[in-house]
Amino acid sequence: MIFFNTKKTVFFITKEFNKVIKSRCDIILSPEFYWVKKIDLNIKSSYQVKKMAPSIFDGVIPKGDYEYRVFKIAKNRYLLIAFDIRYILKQISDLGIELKFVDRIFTAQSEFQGDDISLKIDDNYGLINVEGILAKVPIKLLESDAQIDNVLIDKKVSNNYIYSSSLQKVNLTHKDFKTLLLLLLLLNIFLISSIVRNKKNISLIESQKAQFIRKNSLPATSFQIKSMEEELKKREKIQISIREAIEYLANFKLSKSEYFTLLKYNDKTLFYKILLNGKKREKEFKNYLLKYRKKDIKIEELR
Amino acid sequence: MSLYRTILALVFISLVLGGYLFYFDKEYKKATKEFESFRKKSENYLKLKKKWVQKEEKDRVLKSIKARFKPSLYKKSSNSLLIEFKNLDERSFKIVGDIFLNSGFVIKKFDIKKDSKKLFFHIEVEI
Repeated sequence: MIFFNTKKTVFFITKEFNKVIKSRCDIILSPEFYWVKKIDLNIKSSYQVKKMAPSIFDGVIPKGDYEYRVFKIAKNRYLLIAFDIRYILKQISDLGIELKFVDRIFTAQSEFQGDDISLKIDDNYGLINVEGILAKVPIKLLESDAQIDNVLIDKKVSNNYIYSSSLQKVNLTHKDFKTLLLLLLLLNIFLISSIVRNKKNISLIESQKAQFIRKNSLPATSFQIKSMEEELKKREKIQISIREAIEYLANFKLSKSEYFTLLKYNDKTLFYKILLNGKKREKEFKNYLLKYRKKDIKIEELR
Repeated sequence: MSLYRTILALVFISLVLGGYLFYFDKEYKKATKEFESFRKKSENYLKLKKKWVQKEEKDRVLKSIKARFKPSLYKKSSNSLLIEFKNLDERSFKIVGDIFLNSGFVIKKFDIKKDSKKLFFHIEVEI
């Protein structure tokens, strides 16, 4: 079941093209719109060959703002295409084709490369493959009556377009692309260095924590620290209470001949023995002790 | 269109790296926050520990008491110390008592008896 018909019409364009295009389409250019050169070079990558393309075409083709495509067709054998996209777009416009209907433009070279073809373009010209290079030739040189329009109905185009309206919409030139590329590279370098810095900082914090734990002989988790702290707090509470109880006893004003004969602490109880001058003083002391409100430590007289 | 593809690839790589950076930045902030919180929690514990546990300081004090006041009993076990003074005068008792009662010694028990003008002081502390 087909839900969407995504296939676009493909037109083969020559300089004599005279049809009216009123819907979005892809265009395959006749060889007269670009230059092709087959070359044998002892170079392994197309990328290196592409860098050399301007010097390869220098003096061979008219002056223009050319872009290049390189196809590796065999070991050390390359096929180079030079095209001036502004010139091509102008030519297409001059043929009466509105550019808003043109999605992508391809070369016949990229779309029929490797096919042993012999196709009629119109009543005068045809397209044939001459030793790997697509050429527009007079019709009498054709070996068959096959029409290119019939072939284009089922033609699946490649990804080797030389123009795409979606790219043109953002209106970027080759130079803009290079600047964008540079900016993206810088952004990536920044991101990588930030990631490395963050990773280093994380390990630094981890090592600082480990050092802090080691230096202070601490347990590894906050939970353990909390429980040890609670234990120490309990201990502190009792120790402070012992000292408060002693202080309370010591704060009772004794006269010259009066003194404690014993002060003993054991098992949360502070025992005392005191020598006081008479019953009145003993009563005063007992009343004083009754005011002692702390519950943690008891104060008792040892009998 | 290789330049275009390279740009797309770089945008994709940037997004992935951006994701990583976001993750590591979050991890870094989390680690910093955790360490700060751990340090704060430890500070209270360390203060208490310094006050009630610090062995080195206590050892130094005990050594000085032992040398100056010649206790009649000075017995250390694994976690406690028994120390006893039989004939302390008031002044010496004030000093010794002050050391044990106004510092971080954890008192287990003590016993003070006054007989005529001399004082008997027996104390057991945690060490």
